[in-house]
Amino acid sequence: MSSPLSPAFARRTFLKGIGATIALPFLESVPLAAAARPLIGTSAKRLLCFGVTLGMHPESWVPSGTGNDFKLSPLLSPLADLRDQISVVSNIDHPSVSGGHKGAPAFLSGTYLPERIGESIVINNSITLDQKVAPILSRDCRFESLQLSATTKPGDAFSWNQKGIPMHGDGSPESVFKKLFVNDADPAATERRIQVGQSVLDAVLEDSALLARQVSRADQDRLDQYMTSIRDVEMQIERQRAWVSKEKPSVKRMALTAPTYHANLQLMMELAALAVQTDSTRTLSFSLPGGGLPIDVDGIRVNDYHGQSHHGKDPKVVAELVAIELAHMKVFGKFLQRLRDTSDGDSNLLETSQILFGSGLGNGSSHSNRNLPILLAGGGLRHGQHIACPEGTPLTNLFVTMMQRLGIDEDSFAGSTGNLNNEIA
Amino acid sequence: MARVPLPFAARVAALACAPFAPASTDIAQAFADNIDPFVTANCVKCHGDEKQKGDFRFDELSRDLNDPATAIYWMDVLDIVEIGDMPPEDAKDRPSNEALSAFTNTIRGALRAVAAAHNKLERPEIRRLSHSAMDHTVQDLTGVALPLSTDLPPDPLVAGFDNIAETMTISQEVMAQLQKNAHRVAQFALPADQNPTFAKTFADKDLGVGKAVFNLGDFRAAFSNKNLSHAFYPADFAAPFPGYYDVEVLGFAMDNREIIYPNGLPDPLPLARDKRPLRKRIPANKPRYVQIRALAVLPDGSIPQGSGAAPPPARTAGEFQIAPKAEIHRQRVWLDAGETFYLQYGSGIRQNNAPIVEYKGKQVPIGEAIYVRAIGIAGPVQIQWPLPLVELTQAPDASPEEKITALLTRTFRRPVDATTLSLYQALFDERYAQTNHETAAYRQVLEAALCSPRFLFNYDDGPANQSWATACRLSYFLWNSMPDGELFNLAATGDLVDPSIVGQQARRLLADPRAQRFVEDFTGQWLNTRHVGKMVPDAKRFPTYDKNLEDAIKTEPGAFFGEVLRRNLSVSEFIESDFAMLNERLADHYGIKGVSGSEFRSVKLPRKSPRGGILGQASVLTATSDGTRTSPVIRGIWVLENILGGHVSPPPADVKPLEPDVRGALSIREMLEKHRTVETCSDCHKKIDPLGFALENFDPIGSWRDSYVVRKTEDRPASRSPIDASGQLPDGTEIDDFASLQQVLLAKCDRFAATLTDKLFVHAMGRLPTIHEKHVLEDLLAAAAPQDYRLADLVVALCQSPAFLNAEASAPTDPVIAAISR
Repeated sequence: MSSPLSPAFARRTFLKGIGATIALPFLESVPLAAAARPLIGTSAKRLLCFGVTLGMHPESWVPSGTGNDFKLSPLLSPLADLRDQISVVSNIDHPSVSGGHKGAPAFLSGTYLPERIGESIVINNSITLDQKVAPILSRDCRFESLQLSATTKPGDAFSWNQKGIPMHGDGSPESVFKKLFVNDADPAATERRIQVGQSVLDAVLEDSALLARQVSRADQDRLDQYMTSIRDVEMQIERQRAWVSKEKPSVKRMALTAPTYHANLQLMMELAALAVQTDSTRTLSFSLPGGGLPIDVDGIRVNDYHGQSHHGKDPKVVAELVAIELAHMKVFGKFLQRLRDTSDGDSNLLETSQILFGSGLGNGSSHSNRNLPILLAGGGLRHGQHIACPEGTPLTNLFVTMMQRLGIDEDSFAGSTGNLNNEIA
Repeated sequence: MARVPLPFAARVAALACAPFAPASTDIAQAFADNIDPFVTANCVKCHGDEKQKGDFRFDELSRDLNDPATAIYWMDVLDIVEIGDMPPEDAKDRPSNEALSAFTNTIRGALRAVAAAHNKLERPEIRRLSHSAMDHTVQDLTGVALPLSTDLPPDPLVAGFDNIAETMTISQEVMAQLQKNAHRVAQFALPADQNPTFAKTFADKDLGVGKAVFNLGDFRAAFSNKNLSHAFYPADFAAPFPGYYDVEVLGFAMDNREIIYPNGLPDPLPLARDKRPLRKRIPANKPRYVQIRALAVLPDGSIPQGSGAAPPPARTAGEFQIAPKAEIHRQRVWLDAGETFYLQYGSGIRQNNAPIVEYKGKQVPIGEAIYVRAIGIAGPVQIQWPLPLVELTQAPDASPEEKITALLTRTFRRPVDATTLSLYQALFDERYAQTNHETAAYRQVLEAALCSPRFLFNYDDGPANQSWATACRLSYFLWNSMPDGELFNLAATGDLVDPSIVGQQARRLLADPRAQRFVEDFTGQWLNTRHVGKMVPDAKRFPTYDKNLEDAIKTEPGAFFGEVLRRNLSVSEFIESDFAMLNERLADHYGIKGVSGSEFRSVKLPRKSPRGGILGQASVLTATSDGTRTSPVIRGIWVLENILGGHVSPPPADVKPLEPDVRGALSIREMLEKHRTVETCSDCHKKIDPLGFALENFDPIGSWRDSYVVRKTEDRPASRSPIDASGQLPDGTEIDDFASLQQVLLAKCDRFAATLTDKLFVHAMGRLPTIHEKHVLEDLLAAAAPQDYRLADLVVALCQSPAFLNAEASAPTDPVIAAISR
């Protein structure tokens, strides 16, 4: 029952009407031309991005030799079996990004917008590669994108949405498992809850419009942001409604707790693989933060990962750092193998995924954002090579090639000056 | 040099002041008479065509103070000359003090005149509640300690504060989570059930134990292990209501090897089931802790067991120290509805299977163990029952419309107009029609109200409502929460525009226990003590650092600030004081004897103790270290920014950052000396480094040290090298050691008082002061100077200032301005 005083209720009924006639109301938000473009010349249909907060020790990362004859570096040695399915790109970074740790979240955006407020610097960001492609790649999936993390430490977010708001990774296997695979116990109740929630949002949105008339013009801008966020929640709810009564994929039960950083990393990567395998999403970002769980390397407890990254070239500390990073790569290597060993139609999951592994820090010890460690794997790209770019090549040139190989019709991304089609496509 | 890098300048200006109107010709004349000759004689040689030291040149700097960016530059010029950084001490023909003050007075006068003329332009005042403010408000509104900010992404810090209006944004992520949380709050603020308060003792069969716990008659014993099989818990318990519960544990922890083997351990040692002997032990004087781990019960009411060897996911809700004698330990923990908890002995020797021997006719496990007799639970505590909103919505003789109006007025902290009321009334009607249940319908109204911008924001909505806006500004500044009844009543009378009434209220609020929320919130951000514990000190190098010490370290600044505020002492106490606020653990850490117990109290310090004032507090010293080593640069910047109100720009982008290289065994002093030979680095580092070096006698956890430990490497053994804490400031002042740094800073107490007042302003208003407001603050400080800047007086004066009251400022009184504006 609705009150004549409240046009909001009428509007909601209208929205409901659309929901009934179009199966997937969120399609509206997808640029149709892009969405409709067929994926020609590539088998890759999803994008998986992995970011390491503290970078990779450059001397142990960069392979020797270039082209097809390159020799794997110590940190890449766990990927020896996959040598022909990976490529390493060096001398590549975001030329306009600096600021050390503060610049690192620009890894997937290429944008670094320091804003000075008084004596403090707040870093703004803009849309990241994964979020750019997510509405297109994942349009038929339950989740437009997933953000995962090796631990629950709220480290850098590697995904930022259209409005430059960070999307933090979930590092809890329990919660991710639940989100992906545990069915809603009472979808009818959830449906009712969604409806009630919409009433609340409608009323509140209308109340905001009233308040906006009472405050100064300068204050209205800030209220606008608030109202936009409510409309966004309403959009999100539409997608949720479309999926609420559909059964989630069922997977084998698994242990969901892990005591150490790398045990948890392995668990989260398995969940990432399952999310891909069940087509729950086609866009995923995964962060490896600088701590959050105890790190055991070969049975030895390493206490202070961030401290190790500032090794001051002390050989003992460098060895500890490289051991931590090698442990990352071992788990990542297993993940790639897991994808390769899982079939996807006539192909396998590795062939049908485009995978980027890297960091926004080139050298953690000196807080440098130059020469980022970049590794590619999976389908749609030419692999088995070490590409040494001319110094200062924008990483976003590579992003352009990646998008094109995902069938997305774009020829630029955040400050790109071209593409790497000749090198890797 | 405190210069704003160009790309940012416009931004700062937009925040700091609105665009200016045309300048008066008097200002142009004053510049021609006093400024230009001075600049030509003293400045342009280094900041002109030839050289551009500090990336700054006077010859291209506009004189048009109407341009906000230009005004900012001139403010920086004023600052730097007043601090004494410029002209340099070693300059030839340094101008006389008279010439310097004529120069600074002219700039100040011109800035004041221009700023005052333009202060009235519109600026945003609307400000979202910070996370802590949301939670305190919900607690005061509903009487239930139910966080509304759960799982919200953290707000970014600006100048160390998380309550700056500019960056407290609302996104889809925030909004979706807020609505979820508001829904939960509404369920418990208007519950269906009666008073859930209860008290119960869980002993004998009611004391749940894991399968590896030994039954020794009255007591049950367990070893240190994270697995639930070694845990104790209250059987069949789940918190009926979210809130704080008092948990009591009767128990002790001990290593029984000395008792069983009074004449020394036998050889061979008895073996555990895994065939390993029990050799390890923990020093008797090392404190032992028990954790209270909270987790949700399963649908059947039982406690989750975890999978395999892994414990179930749980959070640490509390922790207490345990000794070898049986006593009752009391802890207040927050439990959500449906949560239970288990006790875990976290600091014993990790052990799965104890060797069992026969002792006095009993099978006894040997080793370090925790012994528990009973667990008691009482709560929820700190809850007003009946809940205030239950009382409100069940009031007899009131119509739903009246009740909704009352509910909204409290939640929105404002009178509610008819149109707004009708929106929430419609929501009520809709829900009531669906459920035929009044409470459900009121819950719906409350949920929506908590999501409304009228709840989430504080704002000014015109002169008619000024008293309401001021009531909120006062209560959110000094209580970090909503106004109480007295403030609401005053707001309704419209009297909260009168500075003397506002002053009385400010003093009343400061005297209330809720003022401690302001103290914690402000000190945590101002002194960055929230940072303590984020980089856990290396356990091998700092074996005394544990959770208990960390808690004490984090508590000290708030206790100290609270004491200075309560006693209305001078802010100079923050630089040097003859007392400290300590408990036993922290006093031990500082090597101060005669303090026992965990309560913080005022302790008279021994003569020459470095612990008086904030710079000798472990919180600041730990927060400015990385857990492994100290950094004179970080500490120096801290002192410069937080005590002296200076600021340094980040290293220029074209300077290659130092990649630390410890292989040459350079000391930090040698490394920085090398760094200072580079001219671009030297300008800032000669200001920063001496301040930081003076703190080098404090190690990364704030303990006093007289020498460094030089780590051994392959080609040299470990050794010690003495600490040199001396240095020289750019104005030539010599610093010998920490005590002399304190004296140097005391002499600059005016600057410190200004810095602190500036931070208080930012905290109170959620934005930086405009240029004009900076001048108002200067006047306020000048008035407080004769009483040595008493803290409570400063806070009250700030509440009475025109900015705080959103009133027009009185005309400037400075004679120079008067002269210029004539």
